[in-house]
Amino acid sequence: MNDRLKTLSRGIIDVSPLMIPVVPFGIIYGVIGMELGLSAYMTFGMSIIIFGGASQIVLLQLFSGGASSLVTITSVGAVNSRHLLYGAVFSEYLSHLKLTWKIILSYVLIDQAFAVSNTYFKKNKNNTFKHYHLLGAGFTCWTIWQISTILGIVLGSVVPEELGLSFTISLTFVALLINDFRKFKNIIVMLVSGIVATIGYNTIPFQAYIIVAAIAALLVATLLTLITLKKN
Amino acid sequence: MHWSTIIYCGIITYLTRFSTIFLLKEDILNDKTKKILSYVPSAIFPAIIFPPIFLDSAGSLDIDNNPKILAALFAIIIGFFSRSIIATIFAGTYFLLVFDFCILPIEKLIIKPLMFHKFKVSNDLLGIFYMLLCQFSFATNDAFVKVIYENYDEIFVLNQIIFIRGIFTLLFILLFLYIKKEIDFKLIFYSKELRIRGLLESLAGLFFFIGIALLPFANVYILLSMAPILLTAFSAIFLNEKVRWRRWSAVLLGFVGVVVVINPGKLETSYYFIFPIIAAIMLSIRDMYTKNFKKDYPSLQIAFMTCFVVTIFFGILSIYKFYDFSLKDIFILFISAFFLSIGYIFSIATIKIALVSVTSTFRYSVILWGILYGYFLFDEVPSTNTYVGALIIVVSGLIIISRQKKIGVIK
Repeated sequence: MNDRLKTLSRGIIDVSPLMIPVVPFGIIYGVIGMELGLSAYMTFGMSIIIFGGASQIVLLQLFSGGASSLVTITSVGAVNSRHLLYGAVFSEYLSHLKLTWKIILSYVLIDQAFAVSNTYFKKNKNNTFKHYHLLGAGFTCWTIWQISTILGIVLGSVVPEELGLSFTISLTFVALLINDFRKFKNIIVMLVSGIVATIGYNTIPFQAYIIVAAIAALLVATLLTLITLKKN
Repeated sequence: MHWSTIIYCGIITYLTRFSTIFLLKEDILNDKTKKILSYVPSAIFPAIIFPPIFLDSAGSLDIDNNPKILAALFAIIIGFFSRSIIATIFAGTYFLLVFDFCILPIEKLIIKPLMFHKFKVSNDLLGIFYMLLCQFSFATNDAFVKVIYENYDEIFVLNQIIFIRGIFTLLFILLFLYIKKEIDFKLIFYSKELRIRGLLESLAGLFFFIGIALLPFANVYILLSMAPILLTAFSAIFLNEKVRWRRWSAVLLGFVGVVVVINPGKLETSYYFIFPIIAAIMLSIRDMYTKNFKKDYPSLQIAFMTCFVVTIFFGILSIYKFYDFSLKDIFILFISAFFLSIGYIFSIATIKIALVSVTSTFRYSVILWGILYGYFLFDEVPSTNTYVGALIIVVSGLIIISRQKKIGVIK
């Protein structure tokens, strides 16, 4: 028991510094939700049901642009496809667990939790209770995200309605990319995606510009990867 | 928006997380697939980022004079160097706010007097908001200066710090001037009034920064808050303004506050307290002088010339000893200059949008920022005396403001 608790609290401690930016992000999400005229229940419900900052904000953005459900759902799926990677990396460590564990842990496997637990797993391969680390980290994120969403909902009814928050959304995503700005290939991929989306915003029907741009950029990414692999 | 959409999105999100954990016994994705998946954020987020920045609300390309592009670039630069998510978001938002103010006339600000849910936001409230931002910007800028000073821990390094920061600040103000189309070098450089004002500011800056370097961070601001109180006294003595017993007692009260902060019984901070007080005196002289300007200058032009003289002043002083700044130091100074210049902008915005009597009360928020920065950056815990003294000074300042309003000296 002691070991489990120790690992659990390790997870909580490890993820805490990453929670600082999550708070403003959650608040922004809550405020935007209210600003777009969603009910407080719906805004908060999304945080519980989806529990993924980027997905939720994409959902809101497409909703405000009047996209259809199908496009919205596929776009959210595209945004989330990076989680496939997380699962794939973790399957090595978690494959021995019971199904219940996998079901619970999948719910909280978000960017921040992945980042800290991945480092921990690599160092502590032999800890039998290592999944408690992910549990602690994940549910810390979960709690913080819910609290900051509520804060945003409360503030959303106070903050001026016309406050230009669409720009803040963009900035939030810029912030999520900061680690990739130093990689040349990533910048090419970013430019492709951005330019296709900007041109396609008006020309591609059904607000599908996010998916189209993402696929185009991923194709370029695939090409770049293949070229570099060949060189080596 | 239907609940069903949300639930489907929830399921999709959950499945992407669950599927690979559940399906894969071992890690069977090959390196190539992993490598490609690692590009997913780069491939998707720009698709979300670009359109709102480059397109206007009607959906057509908007590149000319679009502050959002500059703000996003600024955010990227900050993100690139700081690697901090919060810093990136704040930098961009802040930048856009400032540019909005510069480019658009007051009535067209994005944050304009809007309806809150229950009550209408007046210009006063907005003015107060600007004042808070302004004081925050100034305090942040000074905090950065102190951070660099502490790296070297020699008083002469201040000259070079202020010189380099001044150059960056001039560039920022020049940018703002250009955007507002107020560049008029002939007027700026040939004005004797502006030159003298700059010189007064330089002297004030000299003493102020010595104070920043040697005293606890918050105390400098507390003592500097004597400036409006001193201005009242000086106006009475030198400008023959009629000041009667109420304001005189407020002035006396202010001095009591100073004595409490300094705490002569213990004299915790030795005699260094004199520097911010001298700075406060210089600032009141500067303001007295500005009051009597014969011409009306746009505020940004005043800020530009003042900063120009200050930069030259400290540039000359910095010849005394040269320090080898690292690139990081210079970057910090760049950020510091950014905050300083938007501090100027917001202070102008405050005056333009709201009454002085309303906003000047919130000038004292700088003490709060000072205490916070002191606590978090410099490990300073203010003593009880500091708090009590600060309170007394603020109260005496408030008395003066309310009296001035009543007798119509300020609006």
